[in-house]
Amino acid sequence: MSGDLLQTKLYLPRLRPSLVTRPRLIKTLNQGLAGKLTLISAPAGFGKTTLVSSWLDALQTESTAPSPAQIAWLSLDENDSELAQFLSYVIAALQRVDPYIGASALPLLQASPLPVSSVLTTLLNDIAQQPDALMLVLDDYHAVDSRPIDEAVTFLLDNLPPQLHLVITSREDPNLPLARLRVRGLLTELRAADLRFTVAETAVFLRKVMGLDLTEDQIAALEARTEGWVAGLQMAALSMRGQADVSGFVQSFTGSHRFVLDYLLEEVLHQQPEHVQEFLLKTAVLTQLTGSLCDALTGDDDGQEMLESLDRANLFLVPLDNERRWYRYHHLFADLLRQRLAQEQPDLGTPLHQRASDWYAANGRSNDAIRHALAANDFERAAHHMELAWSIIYTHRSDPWWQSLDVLPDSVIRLRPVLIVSYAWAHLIFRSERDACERRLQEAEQWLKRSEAEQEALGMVVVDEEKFKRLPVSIASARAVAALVADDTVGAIRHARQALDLLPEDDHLGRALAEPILGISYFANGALLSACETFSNSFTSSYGSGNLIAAISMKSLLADIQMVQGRLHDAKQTCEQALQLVVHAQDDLNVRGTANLLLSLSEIHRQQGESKTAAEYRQQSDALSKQASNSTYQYRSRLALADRKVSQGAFDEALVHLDDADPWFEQVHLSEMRPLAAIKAHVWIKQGQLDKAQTWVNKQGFSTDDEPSYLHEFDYLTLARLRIAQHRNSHDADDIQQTVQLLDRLLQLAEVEKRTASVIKILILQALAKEAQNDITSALRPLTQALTLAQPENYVRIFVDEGLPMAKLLSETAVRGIMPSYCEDLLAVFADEGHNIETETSPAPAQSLIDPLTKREMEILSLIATGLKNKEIAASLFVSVNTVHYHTKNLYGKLGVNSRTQAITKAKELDLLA
Amino acid sequence: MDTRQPQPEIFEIRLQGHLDTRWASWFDGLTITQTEDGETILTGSVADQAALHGLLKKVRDLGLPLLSINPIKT
Repeated sequence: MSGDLLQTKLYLPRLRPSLVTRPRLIKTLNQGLAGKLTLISAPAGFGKTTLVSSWLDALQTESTAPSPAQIAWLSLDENDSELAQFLSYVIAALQRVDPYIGASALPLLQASPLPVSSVLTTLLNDIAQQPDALMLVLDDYHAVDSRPIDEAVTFLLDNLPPQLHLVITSREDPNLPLARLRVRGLLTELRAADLRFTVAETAVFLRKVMGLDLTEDQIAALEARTEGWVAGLQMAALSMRGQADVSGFVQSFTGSHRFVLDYLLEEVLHQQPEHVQEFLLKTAVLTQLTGSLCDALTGDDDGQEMLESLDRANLFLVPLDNERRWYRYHHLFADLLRQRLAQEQPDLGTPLHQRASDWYAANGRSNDAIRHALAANDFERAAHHMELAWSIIYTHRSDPWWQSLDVLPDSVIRLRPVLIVSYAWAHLIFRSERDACERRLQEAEQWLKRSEAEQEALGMVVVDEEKFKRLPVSIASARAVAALVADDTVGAIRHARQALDLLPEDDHLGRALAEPILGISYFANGALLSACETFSNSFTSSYGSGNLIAAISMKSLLADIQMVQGRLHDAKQTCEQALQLVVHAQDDLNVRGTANLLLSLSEIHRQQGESKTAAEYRQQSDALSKQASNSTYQYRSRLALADRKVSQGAFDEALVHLDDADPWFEQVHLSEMRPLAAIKAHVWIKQGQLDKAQTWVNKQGFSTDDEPSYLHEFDYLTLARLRIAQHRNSHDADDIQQTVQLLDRLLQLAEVEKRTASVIKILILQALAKEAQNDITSALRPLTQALTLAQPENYVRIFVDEGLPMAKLLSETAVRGIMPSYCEDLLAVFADEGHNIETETSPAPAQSLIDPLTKREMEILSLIATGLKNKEIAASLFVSVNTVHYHTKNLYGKLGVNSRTQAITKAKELDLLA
Repeated sequence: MDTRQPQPEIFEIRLQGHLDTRWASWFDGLTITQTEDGETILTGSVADQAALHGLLKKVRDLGLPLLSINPIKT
């Protein structure tokens, strides 16, 4: 995205050497630094931007200035009214101070819907880590007229880290909580009355800056007539420069009722030679000016000279960079010029915008080409550039491309099959509108079915012949992605294969887009061997055609699959090979992929119990991710962190990290294979919060009777865990039987598809299910199988993370002489991590109950304490066993325990048992 | 008459200073009248609230001092 951002919007405007110094205002601004917000709110032409830039210049250069701050500048315009675009620019501005700021927030900006609070929170966190004070200037804030942006800025202000000070210039008071800030003394305001030039300042301005020889009376008259409005003063000064009779001018000007600028513009223009007037009028349609662009509009070749001479003449030209390449007109002056152009040469606006559009297109700035085409109401031209500009990878939702989507009339779109398919993709990717996507795809197919003669007769328009040739591939690929979004993995495979069948073997570019879609579809379907083959092929063709980025990401996916296949050693090797490629590539773009690879390596080593090596890889990946990262990395790194916390028994922290991962969930391929909600349920089960986990089951509607698919394997394994945990409390025989059957079905599926990691996990759960039934002998059978499969790959965590029941089973296994050395190794890890049969099950420190037990729960608790079984308790209270279960479950929840023994211990601590 | 349809209303916008009549098209065809006491009155039909705010934005962006806005009963 950053490639499309206009860097000129991030430059602090360059100062003229001879400005009027305004110490009274600078003093107020300096004092305001103690607050949160400085607002400079005044109508057009009051010198807001000039004041702020001269203040910031002083802050940076003068040694007497208070706490010199780092400055992030952003000049806003109407095109920034979309929140994602606005935030991209804010981050880009802040990154000029420190490139780490917002690195993790940037990928979030592509999410749909935009996760606003996550973006802002990560951004604020980055700012809070800044060592030095920082200022963010939002210049021309009135230009973004957007409620969501006001809300986002309000959020920033409400949570502003002490390092950051916000400065806003605006023609109208922004819709921010100004009153609240004012009352708390956190707002400094400069308004029109403050900005007006005093007579003394007027004198300095007219004499020193504009070089005019005027009397005190004339200066006072001009000050009175313009009311200290600097735009008016400047225009007056420019008008007087060429006047022989200055006093006559002052007299007629001050005597006139005419609106100051209206009066003066004519005077100013009148002073200019014909060709300068012409130049000003024609180039007024531009929001930014550079020599060759001006030439394209005027048909002359002196654009650069003209701009430099206008700059020297002080003719409302604002330089946008330090090289005198890009300028803009002062907004107010540009408005005046545009009005005059519309008045005097009404037919010229359209061709000027068209020429600007063509210049931008030729200079590779398609977004501006589209913008000017739309300004000319030239929808064909806009469609032309939109067709050329579209790219599945590089077009973003914050681009004008997407914003113009709703503007183009259908009469223009429907003749352009390539554009129609781009629209289909845009609906799918940016708005998750699958139906709208399919409608557009069918519309495009209609065109493809027609003969060339028919296409011509109906007026089909194709700009990009290459894209048109690949249209059937693009259509099939879009359908595959749409199917994946809808969890239809079979449909996704069918469409993705179709896309590939349509591509010639040597179309590497086309294959590099279509093959990953097929591979991911196979992956989601559980057909791992086919997925492997596809990713391997894709690697070979990407590598062969020199597309190293694609090649590396294929290796990454391959490693993911190998992990599911239980081939940890192979996965490690795959990652290492990919890292070798990165070293050879020496391309910054690979940094993103590299962070992912290092994270995978860290996870594999952790799984194998090599925590030191794992930590080293993790540190490397963290360091890299600060330079560049993507959604996948952001998501996976948080999940990995949560997994580590779970291993450490820090469940609440794990839950926080899982919440942190949430914003990225939707954007990451295959994240639904291990949904956040299920991982949280898993943590709750470990915590003993079985009610919460049960609520998750109810919400998802999962049942042990379901026929599970690979895509939902993790969900069902979590369901099985919950049932096992519940069984430890209730000892319901039917429930556990159903769970065992569910696990059998999952096992069969995993064995057929050779997903060994799944097989090991399921066998472990089968063992735990038997253990929960106190059937140790039966438990050892699946456990032995699991150990046999796991030993060659050095699996550790998969066992150790199961905690105490697993430790018991492993020592039992070892005692019976089954794989004793592997069991001892694993048990040693348990011991290292301080797992201990006594402490492991002991409940949290005593605390008085927030939710007191009912009379019935107290009764049952005391009966449990006497050692009665549930059936006996039911009989003695004349209630059903289910009722006893119900009350037991509730009182366990209130006590924060998950077993009878724990309940009794806790009850004693709380003195509940008389 | 269907009252839900937004009816264009006639508005009168008063500005400080004399604005040349050639600005009429810039202000979506409003009539520009200059009063003797140095004010300008923009008069004309405004489609709805959004259009009215759009006009006010143009007044703001030209830095024209706004005195009053009144609907005119017809």
